Amino acid sequence: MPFINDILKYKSISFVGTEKNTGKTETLNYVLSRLCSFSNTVVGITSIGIDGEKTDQVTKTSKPEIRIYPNTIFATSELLYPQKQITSNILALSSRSTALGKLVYAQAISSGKVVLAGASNTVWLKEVIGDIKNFGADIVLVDGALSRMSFGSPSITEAMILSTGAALSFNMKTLVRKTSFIYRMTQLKAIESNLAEKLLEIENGIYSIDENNNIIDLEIPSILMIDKHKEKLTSDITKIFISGIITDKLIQFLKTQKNIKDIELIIRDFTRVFCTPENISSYLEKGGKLKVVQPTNLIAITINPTSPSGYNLNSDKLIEELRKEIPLPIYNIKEI
Amino acid sequence: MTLKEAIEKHNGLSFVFNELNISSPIGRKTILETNFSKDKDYLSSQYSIIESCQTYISEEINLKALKKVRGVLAHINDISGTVKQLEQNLILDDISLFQIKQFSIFCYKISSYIFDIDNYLEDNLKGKLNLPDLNKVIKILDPEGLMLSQFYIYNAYSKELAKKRQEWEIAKKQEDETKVNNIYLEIEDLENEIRERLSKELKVYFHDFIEAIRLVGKIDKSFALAEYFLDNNFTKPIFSTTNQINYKELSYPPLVSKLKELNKTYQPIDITLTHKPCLVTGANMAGKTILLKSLYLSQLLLQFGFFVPAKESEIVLVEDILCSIGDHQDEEAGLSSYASEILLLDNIIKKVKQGNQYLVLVDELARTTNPKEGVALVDSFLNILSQHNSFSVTTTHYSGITTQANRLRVKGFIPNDRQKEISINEISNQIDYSLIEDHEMIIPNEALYLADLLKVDKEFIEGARKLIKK
Repeated sequence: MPFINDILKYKSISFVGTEKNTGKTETLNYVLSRLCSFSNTVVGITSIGIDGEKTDQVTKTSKPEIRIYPNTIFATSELLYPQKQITSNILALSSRSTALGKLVYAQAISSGKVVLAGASNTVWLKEVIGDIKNFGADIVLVDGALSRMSFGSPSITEAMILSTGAALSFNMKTLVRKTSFIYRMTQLKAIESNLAEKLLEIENGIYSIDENNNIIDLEIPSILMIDKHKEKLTSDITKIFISGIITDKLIQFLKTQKNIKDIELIIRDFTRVFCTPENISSYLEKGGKLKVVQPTNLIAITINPTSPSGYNLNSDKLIEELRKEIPLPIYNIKEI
Repeated sequence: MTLKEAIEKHNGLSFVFNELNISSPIGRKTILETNFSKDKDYLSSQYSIIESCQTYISEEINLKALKKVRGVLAHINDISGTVKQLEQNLILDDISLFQIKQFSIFCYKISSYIFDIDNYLEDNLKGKLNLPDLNKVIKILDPEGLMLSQFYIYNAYSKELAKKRQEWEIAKKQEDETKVNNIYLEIEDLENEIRERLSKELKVYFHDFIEAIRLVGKIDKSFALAEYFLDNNFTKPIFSTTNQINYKELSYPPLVSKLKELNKTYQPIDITLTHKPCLVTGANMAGKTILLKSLYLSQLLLQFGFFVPAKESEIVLVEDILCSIGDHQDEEAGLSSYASEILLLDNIIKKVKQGNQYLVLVDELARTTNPKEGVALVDSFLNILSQHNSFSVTTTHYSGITTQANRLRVKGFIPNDRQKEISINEISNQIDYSLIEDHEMIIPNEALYLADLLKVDKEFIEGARKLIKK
């Protein structure tokens, strides 16, 4: 029963995958099934945005549903709630709405399958986790996402488990390189908590931060339009907060600045990095700093050596290669 | 006109609305849907309910009850949509059934917290805040008698369902996936039958639900208003017996609050309006515009059934409030300030001539044109108003108005040592905003003094002073 005892140390854990079909849902189901054997522990579960669909909307491959057990408290949306295959008691309804209706909090009476949905931004997600705890959950699992479309940060939880596998790449070298890059991004240092609290609320835009932690809107509508607004990133601006994703273009631009050693780029969390590993590495080597509002506590990695198209990687070899780069427990989700 | 529409046009009203401690979306909706009314009986009853609520919350123990009521209101959902489904004979899903159950339990709680509210209401209004009894609804949705605001299709609804659920559990243990799925389909059918049955049983209470939603809104609204008016010294308006509008210590809440932040006090004013036009003069910065805004806001408030920001008031209900306050320049329509204003006045005159009783408020009539024609326009406007049954206040800078009117002047700058340095922030302390009768109508020449205080270019002001002396 690996890593279940580790998990019980935390009050909230998110599950993310480096790509679809890397075994995130299997990991979640494994954890749920193990946790249910601890009869004193009430488990709570929700997701960021929409997930747990029967069929993966992109690849159309079948995807296991989330299976929960009696007493588990779950949050999903009004529209997805009826898609459950379970007897469950409705506890409350949120006043706020997601794209799929209000959030429904319910407690499982039988075991069975559910389709999850959840808060669409970080601040709300934090509240939902709190609400689930208030209904009696000892530990809350969050079905997270590594997607540029996601506004909710999975890093808000106390710990995270990352799933990776052949779906990310069936070239083992590439898979290890990409995964270890994501691992390195999860290790980015956090900014001070006073500033973090303020930045957590901001969902749009690009800002500079002065010595007194004043947040100034640079009025650059999108990172994709950085070319037209380069003049706003003058040399006296050293701390920059990007509320959305960061791209290669931005990093390229910052790398060419004379004051690169003074630049501190702040992003919400590691999921906001959409740059090549090489580019980030050379930015950091040149002295540029990269920090996050929301640090991540990655506690384990699970691998799925099978790709959706059926390609199989050597599991032992993969774990061995990953361990060279990542000092964390790594498990094959199909074998535990 | 609903309050929602009025808020968009009037900052003062939107200020008051935003200050209210409304607990529920239903309460908010109820307040926004309040209609501007000319019905004396209706308005009397509204004032009376607010007054009763104020008496109620002035007792310590009741304040605690209100806190509990608000705790419930904060979580109450508007079930109008669900109730509509019942009306259309639709089958409610578990979430809708949950909402109805929760709503009914919440109503029960609210009723139990303010069980003696009737004792505070006037005889003719007794029962006006009593929620309908929804206990039978709770019974339908709570077959196990747990009184919890939770819901699912309980086993207690059907022995067959309970049996199927047991079979389902066994099939799951046997890990027979097909059997699990098949039994679940049967369970779903049984659950749907129960949902259909419950929906039919609940439809009987359709009118009770509608009434309960209305009253939840009314309770939230009444206490929000009662509390705000108590805290901010608004008083119950009294209907005038002499057809005069009369305010003692009328104030303008947005400014009161702003001055409070600056540690300054607001000087309220007394004013009486009859059908004879009222003409107000006074120096710049003497609060003439605020006077008009105060009258406008109070009239709106009282005709929405609210209290007014004055120590005492005698009120008259009007058809509407017609006003011309502020800069009217309408560049999009290609109209100058003057053209926009004169068209607005034309509209006011047309309405007044129809004979209904209005409250007319005009700020600095014809100020953007030349003084000679300006004076003539003011005179003529007042002349027309004096022939009709409306109440009006017109402010002006012009001397030489001859039409019969109640003439008032803002007292203005308090005589003092004019050599003394005064900062811009202190100017308001130098002004006495009270209104005095002024039959002479000599306009105070304080524009240059004010310019001095504002430290405007000396050459500019002294030049003007020399020309006046000539």
